[in-house]
Amino acid sequence: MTIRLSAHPRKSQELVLPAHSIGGLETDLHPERRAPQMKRVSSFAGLNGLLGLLLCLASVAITTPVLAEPEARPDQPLASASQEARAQALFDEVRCVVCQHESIADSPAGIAADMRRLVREEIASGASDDAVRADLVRRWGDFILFKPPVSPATWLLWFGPAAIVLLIGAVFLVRARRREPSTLPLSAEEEGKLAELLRSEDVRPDTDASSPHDRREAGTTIVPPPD
Amino acid sequence: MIVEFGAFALTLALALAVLQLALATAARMRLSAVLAGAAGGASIACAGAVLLAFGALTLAFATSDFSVANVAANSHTDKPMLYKVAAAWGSHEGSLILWCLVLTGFGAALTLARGLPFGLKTCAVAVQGGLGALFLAFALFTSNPFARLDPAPFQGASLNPLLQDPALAFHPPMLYAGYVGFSVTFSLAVAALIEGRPNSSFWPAWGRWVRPWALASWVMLTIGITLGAFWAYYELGWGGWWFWDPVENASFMPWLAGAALLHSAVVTERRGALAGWTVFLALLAFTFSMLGAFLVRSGVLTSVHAFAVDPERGLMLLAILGATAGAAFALFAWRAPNLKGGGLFAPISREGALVLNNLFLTAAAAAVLLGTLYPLIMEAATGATISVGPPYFALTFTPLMVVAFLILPAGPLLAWKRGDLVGAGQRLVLAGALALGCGFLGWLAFEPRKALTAAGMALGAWLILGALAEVVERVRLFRVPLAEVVRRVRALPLGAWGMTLAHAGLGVFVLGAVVETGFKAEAAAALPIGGQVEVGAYSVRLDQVQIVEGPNYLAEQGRLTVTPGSGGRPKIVTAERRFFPAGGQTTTEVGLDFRGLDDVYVVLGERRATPDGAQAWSVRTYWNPWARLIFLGPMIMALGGLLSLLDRRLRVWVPGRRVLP
Repeated sequence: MTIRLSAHPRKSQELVLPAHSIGGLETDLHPERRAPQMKRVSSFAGLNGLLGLLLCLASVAITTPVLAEPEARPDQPLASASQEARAQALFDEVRCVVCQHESIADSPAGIAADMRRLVREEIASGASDDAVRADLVRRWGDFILFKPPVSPATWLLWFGPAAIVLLIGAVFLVRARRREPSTLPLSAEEEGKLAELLRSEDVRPDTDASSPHDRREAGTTIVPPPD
Repeated sequence: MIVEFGAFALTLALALAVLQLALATAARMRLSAVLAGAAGGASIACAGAVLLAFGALTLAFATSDFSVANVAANSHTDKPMLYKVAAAWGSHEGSLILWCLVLTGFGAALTLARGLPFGLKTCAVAVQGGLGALFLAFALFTSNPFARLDPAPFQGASLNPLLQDPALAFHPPMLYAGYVGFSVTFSLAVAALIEGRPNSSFWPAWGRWVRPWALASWVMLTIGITLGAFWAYYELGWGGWWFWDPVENASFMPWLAGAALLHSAVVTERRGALAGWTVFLALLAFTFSMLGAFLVRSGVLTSVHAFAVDPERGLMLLAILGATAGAAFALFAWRAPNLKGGGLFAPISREGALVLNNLFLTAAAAAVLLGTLYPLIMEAATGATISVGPPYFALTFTPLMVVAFLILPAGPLLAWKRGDLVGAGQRLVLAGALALGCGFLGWLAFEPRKALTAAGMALGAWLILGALAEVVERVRLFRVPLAEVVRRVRALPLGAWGMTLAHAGLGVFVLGAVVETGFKAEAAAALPIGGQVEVGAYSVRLDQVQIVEGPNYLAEQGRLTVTPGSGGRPKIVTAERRFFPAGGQTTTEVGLDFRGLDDVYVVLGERRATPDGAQAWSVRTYWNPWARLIFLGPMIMALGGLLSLLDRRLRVWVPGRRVLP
């Protein structure tokens, strides 16, 4: 089990509230039992630590530490393997409401175990995946699903990356096309001039003109640029 | 006394950074070598002053001086020395000093770099001084780590035990070195926008100057992120290594922009093309770094990483981000139209392939950016709360990367200017066929059979084999006599090996990620002593549980035997549940059985009673096939980057390099 720092207590408190509305579901919420703030500075910190140490030593084995959340009850997988697989797939999509950024599949929190049980119960009672999702959204809002709905408000989110590929790709293509004329083949007159130049000048091969993989014969020496 | 000295050194550093900015600006305006030398001196002195301040803070942590508020809040006398020292960068204030240290350190390195022309270098030193002044002022005025407590407490509140881990002691310094290293590419980009001239030999040279800085930052960022992922994997206790947590994303965005920058800078260096785009990426990489700092430190995100939940600091950081990035991009918008020109190239060419690489990396970075910021923006704009998590990234980020990976091996086989796609295809036929064969073997090897996972394995194999095919092609293996092949192997520049390693490392990572995600198995049970649980092809038996005492914790330590079902050698692992009295926190230390590429991962849970009243412990086990490759792959990539960095052409410290090609 891990302890997380509640770095944003205001937010997690807000998130906890709607969870109480779970009908007939045992809610196992102990916000006060979550890890203490890291920034706790008081002259009593040392005393607290000493007290904790004494408590621990006294009970020989470590019983539940004072401030730690009790571990969730172990999960009971569904009897049907296909239903269990569907439930497992759904766990990855559902956010644990008291955690920082974890799915209920990963979270060790008690509420996550309850939510897993809820999902399993609904699947066992014959609900489709979409029905389970809809029910979760009804209880907790869109926040509960790690996959936000596609709506006009989230178009930018969903289609933004593809739009960027098209946009930047189009810009590059247009610019490449605009430059095309300058790479037209040379006229006969220009070819003649070039041949003249090549005859008269001491020409060094351009190492950039071809990759090492072109079909140049082995043994051709390339003059390296002066270093 | 040492502490006051640290505070003084930090103030001095701020003054020196301002001086560096002023002197370098004056040097550029008056074209004065004397003033430029003075600016360089200020830059080195500034780095030295921050180093002294950081040393003073580290000393306060090492000696547990609880009269310093920051030490009292983050340290404890019982902690081992490594974590006392590491706690110096474990809090917002301390890590900000580390940030400033890296920033000014890179500034000093830039001052010492040889071969840069006067104007460009002076401008870059000025920009680096400006950045240093902004962040040092932020540290000094909002997050002074040297503030005293009166009366000093008897004991400190200790560091979050989750962070007391070797991987995490080194994760922040590496990460920051990467983040802030991009400040140099930022400064060089701003300087180039001021100094650069269109259609000159300036841009290829600039591409060469910016590459080593981008490469070094990217390598360190790669190592930093991998260390963080490895820590999450074995410390958080449920076998995950990447959660698309907003703060992970914050480190991933500069990584993606940096990777794009590395590739685009090659085009600028070799061909003088894409200058504007490379400058844009150089600005973007550091902007993402600053955005990450804002997200982590402002409290707008809820995350395990979020320190300093302070809206005022957040606003200050937002102002710094807005001022620097805003000014830089405004300058870009003004000057970019002058950057046209450079070598021409056909769409099918090395340049074309690198443009595609940039296209997909940038779009992937945009997907990560949107996924990270959208919930914040939407909540602010409409009040609606949404969550963006792994399923979103699986539908946007992953397809973009798949397409990029499919194209990747062809890129290095294409010639500059005008490539031969058919020829490149022919050279990759064997690699492609072998990759498909690997996918098929993978499909047969794992139960249950999953077509998508097999396709992913083929993709990983394609990247590795494609990288090898390129080397084979370069050295003409099997086509020229062996002696000639050996000569060619020895003549290959380090940069070429670096590229091959980096691309193959990416393939190794893909293999690991795909197999681990597709086939990991999990089993949990309440085990009495001698009890057994099966996970994947392994069985795990609980042999013994005892209480052990650590330096600053008490632990319940379970000894478990992992036996492979196929009849291999059994192995003993220990898993612990640690209780830290200082903070009243409990953590798990997982037991890991490294078997070849696989991990068997054991978590010891609470003690509980079985139905018949006997003592039992809840034990969770995971079988993570090929998990080793997930961390090995990025390390191979970093090694590839390092090799490239050692390539003579990129070594900034080699004297007597020619300045212009």
